[in-house]
Amino acid sequence: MDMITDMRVINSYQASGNTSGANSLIAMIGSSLFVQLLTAYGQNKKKSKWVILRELAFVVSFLKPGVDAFRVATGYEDKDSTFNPLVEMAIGKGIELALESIPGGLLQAYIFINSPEKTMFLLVSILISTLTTGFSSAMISYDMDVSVANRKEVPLFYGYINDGSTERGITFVFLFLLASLHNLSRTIGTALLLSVSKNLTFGIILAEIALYHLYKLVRRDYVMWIVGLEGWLKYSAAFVNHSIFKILVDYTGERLIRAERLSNSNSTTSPTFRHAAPSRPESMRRGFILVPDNCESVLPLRFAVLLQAELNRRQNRP
Amino acid sequence: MLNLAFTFLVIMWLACAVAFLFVTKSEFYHTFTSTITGWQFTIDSFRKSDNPETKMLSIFDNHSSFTESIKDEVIAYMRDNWAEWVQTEPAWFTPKFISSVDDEFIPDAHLRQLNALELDNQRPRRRSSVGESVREFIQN
Repeated sequence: MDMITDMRVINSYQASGNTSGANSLIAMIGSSLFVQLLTAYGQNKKKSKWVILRELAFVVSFLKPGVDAFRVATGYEDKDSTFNPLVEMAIGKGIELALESIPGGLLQAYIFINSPEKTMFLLVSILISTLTTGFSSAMISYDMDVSVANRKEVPLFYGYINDGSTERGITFVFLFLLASLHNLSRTIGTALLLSVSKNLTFGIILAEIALYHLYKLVRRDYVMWIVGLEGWLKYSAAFVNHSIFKILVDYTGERLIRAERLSNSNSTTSPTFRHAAPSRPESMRRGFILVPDNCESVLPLRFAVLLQAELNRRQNRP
Repeated sequence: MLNLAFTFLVIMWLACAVAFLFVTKSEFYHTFTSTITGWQFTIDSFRKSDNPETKMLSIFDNHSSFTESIKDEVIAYMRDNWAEWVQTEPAWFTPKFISSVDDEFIPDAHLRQLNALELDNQRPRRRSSVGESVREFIQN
C-alpha cells in the first residue's frame, strides 16, 4: 500500500515538474531495496544459487514482507539461514522503515508544506505513510514481545504484553497509535524546521546522532551483540546499526529497540519509552538507551511552531 | 492551525501512552525507563536466572565482549554443570550449542572426548559464526 502511494506521488511530482522531489523518493526506495537485497543474500548465502535467486526475487517483487510473515506464522525453520524468520522479518521491516518510509514521509511533508498547491492526495499520502510506518513499528514490537522463544530466553525483558487475545489486540492498537502519532509529530516538526532552515535542521539531526554514538561509547555499549564480529567489522557494523536505530527510535519510538538483537543486544524496545538500542535477532536481548521519548516526540513540532511564529513576526515587521 | 494540530497530537499521544501502560504488565514498566546497557543486562540475565538455558544463551548468544568481565564465573558454573547436562541431555544442549562454546569453557575431560569424536567424524567441532559469515560475504 505504502509502495503504491509512493509510486503515485513520484508520478505526481514528475508531472508537476518537481523532479528533485521525485528523484529523492526514487533514491530512498532504491536504497531500501539495495540494503534488503544485501540482507537477503547474507541471510541465504549458505544455500544454493536458486534459493538465493528466489529470495532476491521476493525482495524485488515487494513480496518479501508477506513471505516473512508467512514463515513466522508457520514456524518455518532453516538451519542454513543466518537469522531466524522472526529476526529476518524485523530486520526487513527496520530497513524499510529507516531508509524508505521515514525519510519518504518527511520529504512528502516538506514538499506539502512548501507547495503552493496543497492537494488532498498529497495529504492522504502523508497520512498513509505515517500509518504504515506506525503499523510496521508496532508489528516489530509486538512480534518480538509475544515470541515464545524470546520470552523463554530473555524473560526479564520480553513479556510486557498480556497473554489474553483481547488484551493483545488492544495493546497492538495502542502500539500502532503511539508509533503513528510519534511519527506524525516528529515528521511535521522536522519538515517545518527544514522549511525554516535546512542547515539548522541537518545540524540538529547530525548532532543528535553524534551525541548518541558518543553516549554509547562512553557507556561501553557500542559493540553489537552479534557473535563473532571482530576487528573493523565490529565497529563499522555497530556504527551503521546505531545510526539506523537512532532514526527508528526518533521517528517511531520503536519499543522493540529496547531489544538488543535489533540493535545492540538481545532485547526489544518498547514503543514510547524504550528507545534506541542496538539489536540482535532471535533472542533479542537488550542494550537500549533510554531517552525520555514521551517528551521527545512533541518537542520538534513545538520547536518548529515557535520558529515559524518568530519567522512570521519578522516578515510582518515594517 | 499548527497550534491546534500540536495540541491534538499531544493529547492523543498522552492518552495512548497512559492507555498503553494500563493494558500492559506493570512488572515490566522498569524496562521502559531503565538505563541498563546490553552487556549489563546480559550479565544480569546470567546471574539472576535459575534456568540453565537462559544462562547459557545469555553468554553464548551474545558477543563475547559482553561477558568478558565474568568469564571466570561462567567457566566455574559450566565446570560444575557440564557433566550433568551430558547425562541428562536437556533440549537446549544440542550439538549446535556445544559447537558454539569456546574450548576454555568446557571441562578438560569432556573437551578431550569431544575432540576424539571429531577426529572420528573427520569434521570440525565448531560451527562458523555470523561474524565469519559476514566476513566471507564481504570477501566474496
